[in-house]
Amino acid sequence: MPVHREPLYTNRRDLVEKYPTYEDRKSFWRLPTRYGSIQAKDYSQEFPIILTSGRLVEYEGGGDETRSNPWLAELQQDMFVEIHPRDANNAGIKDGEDVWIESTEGARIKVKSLVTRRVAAGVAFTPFHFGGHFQGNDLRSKYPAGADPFVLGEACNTAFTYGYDSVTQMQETKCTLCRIIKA
Amino acid sequence: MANMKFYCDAERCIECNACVTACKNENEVPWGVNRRRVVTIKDGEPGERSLSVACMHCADAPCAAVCPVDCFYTTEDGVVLHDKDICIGCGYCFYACPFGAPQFPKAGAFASRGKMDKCTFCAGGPKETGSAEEHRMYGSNRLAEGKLPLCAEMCSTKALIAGDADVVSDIYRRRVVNRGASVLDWGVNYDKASLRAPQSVKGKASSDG
Repeated sequence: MPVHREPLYTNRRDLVEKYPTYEDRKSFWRLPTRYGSIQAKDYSQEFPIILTSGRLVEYEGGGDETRSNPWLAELQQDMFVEIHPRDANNAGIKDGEDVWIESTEGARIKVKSLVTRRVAAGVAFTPFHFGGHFQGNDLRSKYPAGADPFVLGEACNTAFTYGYDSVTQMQETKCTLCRIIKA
Repeated sequence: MANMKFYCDAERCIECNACVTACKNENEVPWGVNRRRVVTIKDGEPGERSLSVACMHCADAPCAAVCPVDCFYTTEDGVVLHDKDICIGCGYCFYACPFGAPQFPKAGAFASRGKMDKCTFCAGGPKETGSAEEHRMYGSNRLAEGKLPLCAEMCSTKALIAGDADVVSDIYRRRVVNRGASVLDWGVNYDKASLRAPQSVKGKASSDG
């Protein structure tokens, strides 16, 4: 039976006690892979917001194909992050402004804010269908001529967590901590 | 002889924007011109509802009433159309329309905004029916082919329905009766009573039935 293991970056330190992750592995499919040594450190003061990611109805997967369709691209023209009004207010962020999402791993992405009650206080959501921007830089010029989609944006996984599934070694894409500041 | 109407059922619309995409695809509407759009109220809050809005083909259309060059006409099917050869792009219709239906291809004051474009109920325009020119200027003429607007035909939850007003209202009436009390539970399955949908939303369907 699968058991719950608290994410590596978590603000629920009580659950770390109860549901700890694995020990670090020296060789996991020949690669050294960290688990417990990351979870042991409390990042939740510096990075107070839980970050998750998911889908938009307009786009599919990494989005290269669907962002190249004008009828779909027009409906979602910017990579964004959904922030609860309480968190937005605390960070001095207004709806539609550019913000930096800073990750516990040191990367940061520049996206538009969407202040909404779709997310709970303390949680932020980003779609994962964007690509073509990297840490604030627009990489459109690097696409082969005619191959660039209509809409580019930061890939949310740039600002995501370290962490791998212990069986499939699939990366963790749904749960990490972040800090959101005005750009 | 019919009296064509759209109706969007807010209890069913899931804000998927398929109607918007279908419209753009079928009529080859350029970027920035939105004949149809989906409006969501109380986004992310209990009681959230979405509605797909386009030209409602009013029986007494305010756009036609204010048009200084009288480019609007109502077809025998009750569809409000306009003649782009006559339109001067003044934008009065946009101010008059309660649904924001008239669209303009360019930004700017007076005639610089270009000829008005709006939902035609997929009924083409005043050019020869089925001609390439009709399609280029007004989009497709599905009505002449015996088909309904693609947005409504495409709607996955059948929230958006189109057709003769009598048929559309019959469908809606049957829905309301069949939903019975079950619709009253929608949006109220939350922990806190204070977050429940307001009475006006809950009572709407039952009072109609």
